[in-house]
This record gives sequence, C-alpha cells and structure tokens, in this order.
Amino acid sequence: MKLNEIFLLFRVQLLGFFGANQAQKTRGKQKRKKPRGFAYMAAISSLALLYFSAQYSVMIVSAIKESAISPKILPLFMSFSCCMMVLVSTLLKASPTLFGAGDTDILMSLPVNNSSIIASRVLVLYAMNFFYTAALLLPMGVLYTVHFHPPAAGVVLFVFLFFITPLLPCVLGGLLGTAVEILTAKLGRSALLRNAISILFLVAVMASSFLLSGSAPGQMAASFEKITSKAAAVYPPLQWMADAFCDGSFLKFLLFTGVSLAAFALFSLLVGFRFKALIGLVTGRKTGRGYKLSAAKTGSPFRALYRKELKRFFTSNVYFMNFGAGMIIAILSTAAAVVFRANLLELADRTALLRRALPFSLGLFVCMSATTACSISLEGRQFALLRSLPIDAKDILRSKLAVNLTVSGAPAVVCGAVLAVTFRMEPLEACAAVLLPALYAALSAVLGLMANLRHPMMDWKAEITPVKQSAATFIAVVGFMPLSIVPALVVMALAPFYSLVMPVLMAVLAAVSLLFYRSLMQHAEQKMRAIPL
Amino acid sequence: MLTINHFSKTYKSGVKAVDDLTLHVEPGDIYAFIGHNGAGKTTTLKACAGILDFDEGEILVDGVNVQREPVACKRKIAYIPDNPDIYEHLTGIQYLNFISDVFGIPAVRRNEQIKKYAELFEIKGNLGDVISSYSHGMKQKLAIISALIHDPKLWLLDEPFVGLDPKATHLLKGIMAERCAEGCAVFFSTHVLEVAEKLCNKVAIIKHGRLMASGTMEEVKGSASLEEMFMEVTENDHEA
Repeated sequence: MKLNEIFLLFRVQLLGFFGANQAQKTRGKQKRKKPRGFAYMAAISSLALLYFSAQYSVMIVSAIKESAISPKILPLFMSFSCCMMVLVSTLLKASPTLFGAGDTDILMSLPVNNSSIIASRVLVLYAMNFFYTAALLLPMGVLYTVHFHPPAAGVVLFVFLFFITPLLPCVLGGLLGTAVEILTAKLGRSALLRNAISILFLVAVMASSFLLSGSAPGQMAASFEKITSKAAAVYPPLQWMADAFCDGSFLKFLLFTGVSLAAFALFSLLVGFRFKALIGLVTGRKTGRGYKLSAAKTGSPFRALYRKELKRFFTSNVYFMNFGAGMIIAILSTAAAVVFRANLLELADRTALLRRALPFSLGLFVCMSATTACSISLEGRQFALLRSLPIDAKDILRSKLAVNLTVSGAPAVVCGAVLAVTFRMEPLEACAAVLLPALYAALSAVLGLMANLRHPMMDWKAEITPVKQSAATFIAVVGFMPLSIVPALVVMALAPFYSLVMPVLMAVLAAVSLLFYRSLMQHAEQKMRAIPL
Repeated sequence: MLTINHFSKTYKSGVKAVDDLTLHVEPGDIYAFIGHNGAGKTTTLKACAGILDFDEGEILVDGVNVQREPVACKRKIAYIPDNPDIYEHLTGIQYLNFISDVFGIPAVRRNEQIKKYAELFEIKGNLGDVISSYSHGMKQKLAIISALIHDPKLWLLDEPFVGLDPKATHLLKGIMAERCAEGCAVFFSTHVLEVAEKLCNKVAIIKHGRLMASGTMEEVKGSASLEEMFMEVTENDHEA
C-alpha cells in the first residue's frame, strides 16, 4: 500500500464526482452552465444544513449553561450524530463503491497494490460523507470555542479532528458493506436477498442509535448527558475526540488519530489481501444451461416498460437502498407507532401538533424517495436501445413515474391511513394523512424526472455514479426536503387556521404537480431527444 | 426502403459528424457502410433508427419520415448498436419478452420465434440467466434474436459481426441473405471489408462525414478489391 498510489487512484475517482470534470473539459457553453447551477444549489443546501446544525448546537449550549453540566456534551453529542450519519450513509453505498466500481478490472491489471485500490475507495466514501461532517462539526467547533474557551492547543487539534472524525465510521460502514456482500454471495447471490440483508443491517444500526438516544426521558440537559455517556461507553473514540478538543489533550488526539488511521490501514490491507477472491465472490454468477421455454405472458408496451423499470429498482442494491430505504424506515416507524400506540396516544390526544406533523414526516420520506431522479440516467448505454424501439417518449416517462408512485406513493398512503386510525385523527387530519403523502409522491416524482432530464448522466461505468454522484439525485435528495419542511413550518405557524391552510396547501400541491406533469408530457419527445447518446 | 436525403448532423460542440449525405437502400439490398473510425457511420445509423436528432435533411423508412413519425418508423426497423448494451438486470427470456411486448407480438408467435432463433444461435439453455452473466458474443446473439422476432422490414446494424463466433457469423450472414431475398433490407456498418465484399450487393464509403463513394459493389470497386478501393478513396479526397 503506497500513499502516492492511493492518492492517484483517489484523484481519478474524485474527478468523476457529479460529472464536474467532464462538464469542465467538454466544449460548449451549455454543458458548463449546468454544473455551475448545480454548484449554487449545493452551496445553498450546505448553508441550510449548516444553519440547522448551528441551531441545534445553540440549543445544546443553552441547555449546558442552564443546567451547569459538562460542556463536553456538545462535541460528544454532535460527533455522535456525525458518526451515526456517516455510518448509515456509508452502509448504503459501501458495497457498490468497494466492489461494484466499473474500473475494477482495469485497475487490477495495473501495477498497483490491491490494498491501494481499497484504500482509495474508502477515501471516496469518506469524501462523499464529508458534507455531513462539515455541516455538523463546523458550527459545533466554532460555538464551543466562543462559549467555553478550550485551550489554544485544543482549537489547533480540532482542525485535524474535523478531518479525522468521519474516517472510523467510514471504515466501519465499509466493513458492514463487505459483510453484506459476503453474506449475499454465500446465501445464493440474489438481488432481493442483498436488499433484505442491507435493510437488516441498516435497521440494526438505526435501532441501536434510537436505543441510545431514546432512553433518557426528562429534562433536555439530562437527556443529552445520558445519551452522550452511553454513546461514549459504546464508542470510546468519541470521548478521545472530545478530550483532545476540550482539554487540548495531545495524548487523546494521538490515540484517536492512531486508532482511526490504523483501522483504515488494517481494513484496506485485509480487504486488499482478499480482494481478488472477494471480487470473484461478488461478481461471479452461476449460469444454468437447462432453461426450458414455457408459454409467454403477454402485456402492453407500457406494462412491459413498467415491469422492466420495477425490476431495475429491486435488482439494483444501490438504487434500492438509496431510494427505498426511506420508505422502509417510514413503514417500520408506522409499525412501531402501532405497537407503542398506548404510549403515544396520550401525547397525540394532548396536542394536535404531533397528529398534524405526521403527514409531513411521511411527506419528507416520500420526497427523499424520488426514484425518477436517476431513472433516466440509469438507462445508461441502453438508452440508445430504448430510443430505437417504437415506444412513445411519454410512455417511457410515464412508466418511470408509475414506478416512483408504486415505490413511494402507495406505501405512504397506507402508512398515512394506518397512522390516521392509530392516532384517532380528526376528519381533516385523517384526510391530510392519506392525501398529503400521495401528493408529495406525485410532485417529487415529476420534479425528479424533470431534474434527471435536465441533468442526465448516461456514460457511467458503475451504477453508483448516477445514483449517488449525479447532480439530479443530489437535487432530489437535498433539494426536495424543503418541499415538505417549509409547508410544515407554515402549517404549524398558522395552527389556528389549520382547517383553511391544509386544504389550500393540498390544492396547491395538486395543481403544481399537474402543471409540471402536463409540461413534462408536452415536451417529452423533445426532452428525450436532447439527451446525449 | 431507406431514403437518406441531404442528411447533416452537427453536434452541440460544433463538430459536423455527417455532411450532406444522400443514400437509397432498396428492398432486397444488403448495403455495407464503411469508413474510418469517427467517419460518421454510427451517427448516420442512429439517425436512421430515430435515436439521434438532426436539423438538416430527411430520412424516410419505407416512405415514413423518421423525425415526423418516429414511432411508426421504429415499428418497421430493427437496430443493433455496436456494443450489445442490453438490460443486464433482466434474464435473456425477460428481455425477449420485453421486446415482444413492445412490438405487440402474440404469445404463440413469439414463442415460435424465440425457440427457433435461440436454438439456432445455441443460447436456449441460457435464456433463464441474467444478461450480466453473458459473454459479449452471447449478448450480441441475444440482441440479434431480439431484432429478428418482430420481422423488421429494415435492419440497421452497427458492426454486427464483432464478438460473434464463426458459426454465429455464418448464421447471421445466412439470415441476412434470406431476409433480403424476401424483400427486406439490411444497412450495416463494418470494418471487415472481406465480409462486405462477399455479402453485400451495394456499398457506401464515408470519410469525415462526407460520402466518398456509393453504388453497387461492382460500380464502386470495379476490378479492384474492396480493400484497395477503400484505401484509394479514403486517401484521396474525391467525393461521390
């Protein structure tokens, strides 16, 4: 494992992020304008996330000052949140990044160490997660320095800690991703099985996070104290990080850095050592020579497109995990609400806020599940084939919208109905619980498709590129969140006028969705033709 | 069967890939389209298949305008790209059923066609496997079968022999001749000049997007071999 090899490989992969290099090096003004617009959007989203993170840190600072508890709670809590986000996010993309990258064969044929390949791919995961790290740790570092005056050495060490903190959760996420791949391969290599195992791991990670954070009822300060002490007991590097920053402890800094780097090196060496075998295990397939033709089932062209699209979603682990995990969490949360109905019912009866916020929470999950945002890009090189078939461009787009509505809209409507019954909602609230997520599904599906038609990425080698590193998916995942958050804040602020505001909001959502849908269908052929082949 | 009138294609980058190309493919023709890499062969084939937009000229398939009635045109053609990029997440049979559904082929007919061609190309046993497990040649065979099952009037093939084993190449050439004898037409690009010379009745040579020579094989090559003629035409800048 050589450092120059690792950085060389890392740099090449970094150039592919969001198609920036390609756009920069391509002739033509139009192509350069798109990444610029995307960069503005990324900057606005980062600022929004920074703002919310800063608000949360300010809240913890107030709690610390009011209750005179240890100020270390602030770095401990925010680092814990950062690590959990990085771990979950890495788990979602570890397998395709480590083993599914399209350049594996060519890289393995070059005179570079396999461990260097793995190390560079872990760094890619690290880079993808840096967004969360910056948003969560930066405001925390500034606020802690201003309010609690750590030693100068601590502030200097924080600059390094800021970069090192996400490394260990990245490695742990990579480890879990590798385990998913090995388990799937050993158990028959089915796409659905891989999805099931991935979801199982994701739920396990999230459940442990909830167990840690949900076991401290009572005052806010006491809650933070209990959460952080439990988290630090389970994951000691959190304490080392906080000690290095707050006390300026160089020893703890060395310990934290040493453990993070050692884990990174060990993981790269171990996986690199078995890389060939792992790649064989992951990519190798059993092929039978005994297929027997049976009577074919016929269907309409739209049905054929819909089936193909649905199969695409469920057979691609990275696609499924990125756009399906949100809805699975929503379904599990709804099931949990039914199970713990007795505890929550009292709260729901006492305040309308919970009942009225629930449809927006479902809406948030729906907005983050816009499968259409990369459905065109995922056609990749096969797009030429699709365009050569006698299918109306509108039908192609409709099939992609239909899959989005099946994957996010249908479960959200069911969840909404279940929640309406569980929380004994009033008629208008129940109506909103069912209709609002459905409207969000329609709006996000149409907007996702529009984003993808505007920012198509067709020349990828690995699925993770259009799913995780394309402008369209970034817009969908980050940009669509305010679609439910902002109206939720408005509805909460205008609580006395709920019976007026809610129907108006639903009517607006329906009208906007319809308007965008009609515009999309009107220019379907033109937009499809504009996609570069 | 295929009429290309003054077709030009300029990409957004400003590159003129094809410049004022005019060609006629008659029913029964096996028409070879040859040229250097980047000469404009794939661009022309994609435009004929209704995949690529263009702003100058017109392309008619069996009298139907590709730009005005793309779906109607596509019903008459079969296009096989230079790389068999077909849906890797589907199994072979799922892919063939997908194509059959798109073309509305009844169950009995599609079963007959799939059975016939899958046996012929020796991939029947693999139809239940996902396409990602196929070799390049097997994918190419599957793409050929999918192009055959709806009995297209016009075949547009981009480098169809690449990756095929000798037996499959022989079979494909036989099917092309058989289909053209029935009144269909084949327009295909190739770098294998010997195949073009033996198989085709017509040939067109393109260089830097401009047509350099076209017509019957005898008219174009005269007494020389196609290879000699190709070298001469592409090294000297005289146009057709």
